[in-house]
Amino acid sequence: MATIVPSIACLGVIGRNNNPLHLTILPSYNPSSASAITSDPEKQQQPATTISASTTASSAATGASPLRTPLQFSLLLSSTLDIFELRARAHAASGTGALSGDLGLLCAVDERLACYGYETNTGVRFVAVVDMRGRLLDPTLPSTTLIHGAIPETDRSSGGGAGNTGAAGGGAGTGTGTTGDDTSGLVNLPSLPPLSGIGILSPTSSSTTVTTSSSFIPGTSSRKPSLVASIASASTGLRDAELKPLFKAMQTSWVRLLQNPFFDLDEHVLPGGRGGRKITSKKFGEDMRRLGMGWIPGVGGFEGF
Amino acid sequence: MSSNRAARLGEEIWKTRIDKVSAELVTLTYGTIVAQLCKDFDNDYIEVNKQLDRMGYNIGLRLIEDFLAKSNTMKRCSNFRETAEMIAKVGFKIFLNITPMVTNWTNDNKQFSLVFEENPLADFVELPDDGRAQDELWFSNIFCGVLRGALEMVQMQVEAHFISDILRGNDTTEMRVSLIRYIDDELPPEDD
Repeated sequence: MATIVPSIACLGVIGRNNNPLHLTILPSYNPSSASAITSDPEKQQQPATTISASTTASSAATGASPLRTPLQFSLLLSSTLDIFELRARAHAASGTGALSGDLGLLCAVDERLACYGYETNTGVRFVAVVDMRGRLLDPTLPSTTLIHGAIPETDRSSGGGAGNTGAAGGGAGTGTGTTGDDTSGLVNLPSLPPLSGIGILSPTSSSTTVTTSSSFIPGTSSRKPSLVASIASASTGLRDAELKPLFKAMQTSWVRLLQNPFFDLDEHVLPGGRGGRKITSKKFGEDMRRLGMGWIPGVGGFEGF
Repeated sequence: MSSNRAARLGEEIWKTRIDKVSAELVTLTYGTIVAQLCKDFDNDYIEVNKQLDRMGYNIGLRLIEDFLAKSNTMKRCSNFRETAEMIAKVGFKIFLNITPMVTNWTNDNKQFSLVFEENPLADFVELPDDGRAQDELWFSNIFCGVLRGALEMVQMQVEAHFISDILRGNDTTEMRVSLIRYIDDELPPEDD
């Protein structure tokens, strides 16, 4: 039996002048195209910014394609900028001073997509757009042959076998319909459509979900974005902490990029610089793609980051 | 001196007599120098290679004294093969904590290759993507100058150049060193 777990749909890096630096779009599992793969040329034609040809080919074969067009993802990233600014202002007003770095859930777009963010003190922002139903985990297959697409074997240590990832999905506590109702009673929200197709095979999953969601709400029900936060996390059970390894790894990759002497800061991040250029480093793009593909909720750090 | 003894000597000096410095400091400083040279010479990479070689030469002329003092070897190398072992297993070891592999000897024992498995100078580096840097720039060319300068001070005229670099997409980073001649101790002309 297969389980559907969240995956990364898009990774973005935004400079301090609100300039887009990098955008990686990753394919999502798509049940309809999985059954009827062969014909649908329009869908496959969407240019994927940094996805290599081989990935696009393999993802076409497994029924995975980007959920939105690059333009739509780009707009999505732009819309998170306001939230970053709001959070920064809220931080300044509350007197906590420096940014906390990890900003957690920024906004839930619809029942599938949600944006998570991380901001460094230099003002560089990393955004991960998570697709809550983006990946099919099939325990009958080895973990490296996830339906999500070709994942290089180096991404995960071989210890993360199929059983392991399945358990991790249980830890993530993908919400069931009932838990969603419980929480919506708490915060009085319009009821969300139950996420069909999301379910955890493990019998302990429901109790995990309850503790997850209930521990999440009190701390975050103070501000309006957090309201959305509690919706999404209640319905999906994806905790902010689960994105942390990803953001840490993205930051490491960013640091490595900065250490390249031929990387011209002036063109990207300096306040008075010429600005406006996107990151062209192949290595950075490749790193982002690898991180996005390799991320599985609840599974710890990334090898080499 | 056998290869093993050279390796042991290098290890011992590295542990006991060397002041360490942050690897990032070295990498970033060197990277900045190369990037700045590229800017100053308008991306004339051939010229940048030359400048790096010249800088290395000046370093080598001084560094050899330090090397001799630290390595405490009063004995001269008896042949060029021994020199190669000392360069790789003691010289590179004590100054950079790497041991390039000595290989690809010619039959007359006058040419060898140093194959660098790791290169602290080139950490994090990606060559500029302008279509020429990948073919023209030898990023670590300062090494060639260092060897040339240092060996000249101990009466060996050598020629050193890189023939492949991982940064360029090659499988290995390889430097070719060839002995041109042993310089005889020449008396100053006025003594004639």
